[in-house]
Amino acid sequence: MTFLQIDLPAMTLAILAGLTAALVGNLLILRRQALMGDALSHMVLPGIVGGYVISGHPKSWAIVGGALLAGLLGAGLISLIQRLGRLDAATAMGVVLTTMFAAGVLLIEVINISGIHLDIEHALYGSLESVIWLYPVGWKDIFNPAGWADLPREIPFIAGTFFTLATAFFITAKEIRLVTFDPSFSATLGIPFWLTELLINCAVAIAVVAAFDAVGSILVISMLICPTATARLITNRFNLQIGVSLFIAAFSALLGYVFAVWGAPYLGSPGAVNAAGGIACVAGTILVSTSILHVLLQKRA
Amino acid sequence: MSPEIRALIQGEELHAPLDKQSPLDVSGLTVAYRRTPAVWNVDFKAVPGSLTAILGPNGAGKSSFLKGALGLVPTLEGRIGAFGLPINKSRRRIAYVPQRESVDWEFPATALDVVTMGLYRSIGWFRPIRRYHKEAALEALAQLGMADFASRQIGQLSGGQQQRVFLARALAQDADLYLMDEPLAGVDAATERTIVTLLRHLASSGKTALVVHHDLSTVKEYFDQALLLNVRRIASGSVDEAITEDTLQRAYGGRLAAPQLRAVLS
Repeated sequence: MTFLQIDLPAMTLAILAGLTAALVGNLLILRRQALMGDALSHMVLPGIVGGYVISGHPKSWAIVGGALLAGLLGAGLISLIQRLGRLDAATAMGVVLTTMFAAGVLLIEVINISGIHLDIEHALYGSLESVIWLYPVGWKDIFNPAGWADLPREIPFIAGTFFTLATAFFITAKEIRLVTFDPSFSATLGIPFWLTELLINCAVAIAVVAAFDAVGSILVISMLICPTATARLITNRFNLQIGVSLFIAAFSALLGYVFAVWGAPYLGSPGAVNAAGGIACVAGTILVSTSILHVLLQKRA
Repeated sequence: MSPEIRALIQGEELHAPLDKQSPLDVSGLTVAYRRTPAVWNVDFKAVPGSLTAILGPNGAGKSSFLKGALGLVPTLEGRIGAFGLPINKSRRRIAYVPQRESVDWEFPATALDVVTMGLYRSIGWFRPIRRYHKEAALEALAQLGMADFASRQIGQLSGGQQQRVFLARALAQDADLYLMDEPLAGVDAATERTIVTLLRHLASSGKTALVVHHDLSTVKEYFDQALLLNVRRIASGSVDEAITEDTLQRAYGGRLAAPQLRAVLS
């Protein structure tokens, strides 16, 4: 029975990655800073490679630390270049994200020469396909705590990240609403701009690093932006916005995985296709069809 | 040798001591974007319980003066105090109404949500919003005639209604000093009347308001004090003292035609 051992852990990982990315995606979309998600998800690459070099292991906390460091360094560089180079935010992001991503690619080549092998495809497209949970033989084994120790380490890691971020989000929902809506006003209440920027960038960097394991550093962008942007079209209520974006993220992850693994052969593919790609396609399709529906409904009104 | 340089050499305080009475005491405020100064060495003291209009042509630094005083933009120089304390220690007593264009009105929030933000400091950080907070916010909305629109998404309000929501948020803060950036710009006549009534109500209960204003023809009717800016301070004081043919010509660089001048000064 391969479903329990291969598909179930992969789907769980995909859903948790989607939830994590969509949650913080709200911070970006509500501030109209979608590009920052793009930038952060690229800028973490040299940090990931650096963490790998230090730990010598493809799945380690050094990678998470390195990525977080690189993300914050990148965010700092963006505001520095904006100020010193007298450039607008989008240009500064474009400069920093491409340079840091390129540095990451070069780093990978350098360390591969030195004998360690890092698979760039995993960093880009994720490794949903390689997540295996050998323990369960039958359905009831899923609920046996003895088997949980065998869970692929990506799953507890991203589950922990999601619940930590969700708890922080829940506690600070009132403040998040304030700083995302009117940063000038919140500064007059005593929350300085830099603190807002720093905390939001940290949250996005953490989510990006945690989710990149599952869907890869590039496709994580789709999970940051698509479910959140779709929710913006559906609701005008803050709490519903968060809830709808989470639901769409989980739904896209599930549907995208099913489509990639079991649906692709019907479309003429010789086997299953890349699951992260399938998920991103589904998320994008949901966004596009919701936009069209939105326009049609507005015309009728 | 200028008095400033002499003061520096002799190690004296560059600025006069803070005025304990004044709700806003600004000395030597200088704000620059890149290398162009927007506000240059402006001194100003607000009179308690007054309504002050901040006037000047486009690019005169009216908004920058407010933002610089509040620390929202980096200042090159200046000592800013409020109620005898450095501005950072008296934030609780100050309410700021930004320009309406400064926020995204598509944001998923209702009018009541936005007004409730004015209560966040008294609610306390990370503490939940209670029912009586919402009632207080609703009361502030009602004072601006907006009670019926409390649950409306802010993007579905007219420009004038959005401006009233911003003022209701400031009112909910229950501050002693109100700094408002162009609250009367582009609003309908009914909103203008409501806002002016609110300003008079604030002044009569001892509060102070500084309002960036663009319409010279209504200054004398709405305000009792004025600060005339054109990067530098041109004049300040009671409207009759501050607004004369000479100061207007200096602030607006002779751009006012004779009929306009007569309308203002009459």
